[in-house]
Amino acid sequence: MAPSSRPRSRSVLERRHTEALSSWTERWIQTLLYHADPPKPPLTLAAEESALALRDLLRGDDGLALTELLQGYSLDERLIDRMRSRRLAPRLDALDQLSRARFRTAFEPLVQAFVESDAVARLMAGRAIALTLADWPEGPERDRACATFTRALEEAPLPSGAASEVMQLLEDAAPQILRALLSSERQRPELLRAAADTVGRMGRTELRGQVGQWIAHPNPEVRSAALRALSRLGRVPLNLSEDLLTALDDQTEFVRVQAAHAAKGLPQKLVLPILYESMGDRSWWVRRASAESLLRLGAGGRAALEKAARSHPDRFARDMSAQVLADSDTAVEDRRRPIRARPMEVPA
Amino acid sequence: MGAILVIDDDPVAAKLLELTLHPRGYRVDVARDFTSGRKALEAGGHDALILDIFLPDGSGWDILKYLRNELHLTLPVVVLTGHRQEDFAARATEFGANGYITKPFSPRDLAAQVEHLIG
Repeated sequence: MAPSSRPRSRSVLERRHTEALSSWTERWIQTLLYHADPPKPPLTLAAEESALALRDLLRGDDGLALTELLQGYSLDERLIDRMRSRRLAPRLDALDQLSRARFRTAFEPLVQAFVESDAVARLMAGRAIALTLADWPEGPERDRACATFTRALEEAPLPSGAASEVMQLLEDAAPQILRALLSSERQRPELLRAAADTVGRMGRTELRGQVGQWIAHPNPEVRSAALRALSRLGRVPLNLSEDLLTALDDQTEFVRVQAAHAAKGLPQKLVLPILYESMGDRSWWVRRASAESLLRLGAGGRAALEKAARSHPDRFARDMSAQVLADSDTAVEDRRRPIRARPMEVPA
Repeated sequence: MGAILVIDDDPVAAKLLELTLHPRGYRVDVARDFTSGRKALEAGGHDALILDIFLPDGSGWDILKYLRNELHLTLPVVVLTGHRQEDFAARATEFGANGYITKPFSPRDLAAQVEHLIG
């Protein structure tokens, strides 16, 4: 009966491991939230695993307290040693665990790993650094660490999407790094693009001006990312209006699309006739973006769209206006139905 | 004080919520997936729901819509998710959630929010 006993023994082991994790999780929570005695060293693997899973969930003082507690068991030193392994698997495993633990003591070794590693390990080191910085209390030490990571990002290339993913993990530490990356005239286009995208995704309106300065960059990917960010941030500074209107005539289609989206952030009086005109663009995507922007400009924009549906000289512009108006009416109906029928009651 | 249903497939998150809320006087029921969560809601008896969005066998959004539009329950819902898609907070409000919290989170803040919602 050997073939059937092996899976059974594996499932027994898995069940025991799950039970051990659950029991350790409870013990760590009791220690953190209710001041129970901390476990005595050395920690078992289940104790480490459950502590790191819990740490990954915690924000604020409780999270910092658990990190400090784990440093008391020298877990940071063991993970840093493992991160320097010549074998890839333990190295990646250690990087993953360090990203959960957020040890400030691991910051410098992580930056070194970020600069010297291959692409996969670099991304994981970047994630660990960003999560560590996100939990780092404000102050001169964090400022210095942010400056170090900015230099590392400039020195060690990451694909634009991966760099943006890492930067979004920085949370409150992000503005300092984004501002530095966006203010360098000789910045690599991929990094500018990543920084601009991050500003937009994080809704960092205080960096609107820094992003806006790149909407006329020679690289179309950068122009597009800067315009996309402005569109996400809403209002567009007036001093950028000329460059933005120029971008509506850009030779690259995806730049014109983003310009049409961003244009809704300009004053209505300025942008209504421009968007009306760009409804006649040769690209379906630009026409769609222009129509959607008009729709978001309130009553004036809707009236312009209705006029375009009736009498725009371009047949495709008329079709697109009618389509976007019809889609918006359907969407409004879909949203209203459940809310109107059953208003939610929140207990006082 | 009240009964809270937690629908979350992450055992650590579920345990953390349970050990945060139980000492404050709440009964905490945990469902680890879409199916058992839906059943628990149908059975009723809860004063608040803490809801994860990505569940192994379905979506928390569907649970939220089911709760509001099919069961017509008005109990407060806090969406708790580890994913930070840009539109999630807006979608949570649109589907009738009363709170939206991303992981990592402070268990004390979450408990305060639940206490505020239950009243």
